[in-house]
Amino acid sequence: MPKADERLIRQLEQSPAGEFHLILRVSGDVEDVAEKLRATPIEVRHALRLIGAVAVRAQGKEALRLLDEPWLVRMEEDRPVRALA
Amino acid sequence: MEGEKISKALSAAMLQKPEAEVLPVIVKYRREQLAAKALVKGVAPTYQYNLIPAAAMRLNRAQISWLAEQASVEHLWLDMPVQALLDTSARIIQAPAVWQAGFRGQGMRIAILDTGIDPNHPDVAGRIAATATFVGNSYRDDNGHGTHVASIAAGNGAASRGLYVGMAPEASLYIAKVLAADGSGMMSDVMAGVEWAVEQRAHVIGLSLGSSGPCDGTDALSVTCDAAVERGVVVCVAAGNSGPGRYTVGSPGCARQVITVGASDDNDQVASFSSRGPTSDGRVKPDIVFPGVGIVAARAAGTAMGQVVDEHYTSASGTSMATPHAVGAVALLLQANPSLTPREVKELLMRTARNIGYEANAQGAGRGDVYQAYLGEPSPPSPEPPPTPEPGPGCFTTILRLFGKGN
Repeated sequence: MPKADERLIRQLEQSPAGEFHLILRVSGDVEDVAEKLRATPIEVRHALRLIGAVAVRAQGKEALRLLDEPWLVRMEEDRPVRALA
Repeated sequence: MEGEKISKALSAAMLQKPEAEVLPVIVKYRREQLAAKALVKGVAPTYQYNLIPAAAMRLNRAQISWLAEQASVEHLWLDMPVQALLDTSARIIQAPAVWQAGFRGQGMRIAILDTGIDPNHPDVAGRIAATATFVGNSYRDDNGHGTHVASIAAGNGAASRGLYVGMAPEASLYIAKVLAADGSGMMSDVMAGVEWAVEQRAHVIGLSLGSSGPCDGTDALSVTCDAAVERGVVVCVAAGNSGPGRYTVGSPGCARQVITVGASDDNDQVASFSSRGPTSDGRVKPDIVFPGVGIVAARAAGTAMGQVVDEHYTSASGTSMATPHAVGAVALLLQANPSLTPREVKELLMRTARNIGYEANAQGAGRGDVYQAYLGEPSPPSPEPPPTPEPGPGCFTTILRLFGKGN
């Protein structure tokens, strides 16, 4: 299974300096991965232990580099949600 | 004389509106008046009543004043929207019968992940056990949605002398602000809120929120909700307001193990706006429907969400409003039988829901009935239900045993 949808990868490639909100599902210790990411220009928004994920804000070019990380299981867009009234 | 014929609400509306603007009015006239259409030249009634000599009409201020002067007219009322009050919706799902059995949510921990809460609203004040903020700097409700939702689940009706009582009025509230003042947020903020609620050992989580577009339950938010269920927490999620088209249930409504809640009205009709299944991978959703049309519940101070009723209450519609009915119902069921697993709670609610005659991808199992669930007895069907599969052998017995009945 690819680590990210083709559509997302295209968006990252087309906008390397653009800002993306992403959810990274990771293997191993979530806090360790979050710590590694904090040492980069990537902003860690949440370390999510329940499913082993990290929510980040990153530029397109940085996000593309993450696809090569062995600990990355899946990358998806952090999408907006709305109140339903 | 003219003033006496015009109701207070109509008088107030006439003062607030421009002179030329038409208002919905109900005109009662004397029996001897042959037809309402003769009342105002050029104005046709929108409805002619037969039981009483009256007609519904749309009239401007001058026409209303002129009518009030006519000897043939007895009274003029403002035609106002009707609302399903919390006391109505609670009765529809038979919450008062469960309260009478001694279960009002005491000791239950309800987590509401939304726009925050007004902690000073009399209906919830003193029962907020913990708060967390994942957007902005405060858990306070700057939108109104979260307070409304929380009070449907667990408001005690203190500001209405017990009229607008939520489903589990003695439960404790755990409030996470995951949506900003404009009612929007990010999936990851909601995921963080779900984690927090699990850490707080919530019995049930309510999510009156969602994303647009069909989904298959594999997105991170849906998976997080399912993970919370795996940890023993019941998660109730709004189906969405993108109906009546098919494939309109968004995330996290498409999650597999949550209870996905659609909206019905107080006539047991599925609301047109209520999102329909199936999910993009072909599963039936919603799982159940609860009342969610014109629900009057708590209004957060300084907000104007919905249709404001008074200082303390406002009316709103949506699967957002249906979901906390389910949340409160779950709290009552868990108080009555703490050993129920999330899977058993979901199955119980679905198997005892009333079939209201819609296809499964509109109504799920039907409209929820917390008293029937408490009894473990299937609800009587609607007068002319469509054919539905019978529950499998042994299921009914299992449900009865969950509540210590049926041996």
